[in-house]
Amino acid sequence: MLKIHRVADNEWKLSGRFDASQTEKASAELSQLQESATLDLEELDYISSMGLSVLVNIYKRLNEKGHALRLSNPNSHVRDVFRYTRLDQVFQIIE
Amino acid sequence: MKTGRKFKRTPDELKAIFHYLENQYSELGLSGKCKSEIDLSVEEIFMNMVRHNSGSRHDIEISLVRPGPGRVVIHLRDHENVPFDLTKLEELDVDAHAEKLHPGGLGIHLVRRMMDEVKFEHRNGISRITLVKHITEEKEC
Repeated sequence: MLKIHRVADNEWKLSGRFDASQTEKASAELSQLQESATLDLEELDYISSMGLSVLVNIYKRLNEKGHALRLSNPNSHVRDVFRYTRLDQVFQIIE
Repeated sequence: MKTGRKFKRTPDELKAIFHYLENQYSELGLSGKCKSEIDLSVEEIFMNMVRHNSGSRHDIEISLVRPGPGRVVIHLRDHENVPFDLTKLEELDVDAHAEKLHPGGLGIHLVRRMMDEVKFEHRNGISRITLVKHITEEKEC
């Protein structure tokens, strides 16, 4: 199960598994992001293409308003998913 | 083919699917990053079957075997009157896709990157997708 916590004004922490069963909940919770933000992925164990699509939609929404969405500390699996889809060239990923 | 386990065609079954796979990993002696790659590939194919064959009421069967130390074979079976052969889909232009920021359409691309073989067959109204993962120390399995 995916958990999303706000840890600072513009920083959110994702933990657990971001699969297709979690997209509705994640979209609703992350719709609160209205300006540049960082998502800490250190405790995110897993992401599939459906989880990725939620992050892409948030990125697009923020980007259209001139804001940025940064991702920090992805594990090896999550990093591979971004690398294989070339989205590591789109998102700012902080190691 | 080894008898697998049947799952209802809804994303809510993913938790049970991952639990089933985790038990299979333990039985087959698999560990490390390849577990996430198999989880992801099974989720993508399962969700593809759920979405593209939404008229079916049949459960989807998943099984996992390790015929030798160097490979794991995963089967997903679905009742399907009109076969959808995802292996015939064109390779994704992933650079263009990322540049345009398309939010979807990445699932099968990821399966192709993470699995070593993806096969499709349709017989007697049943579609079977076979995924093969080669196991080496370098792949952290």
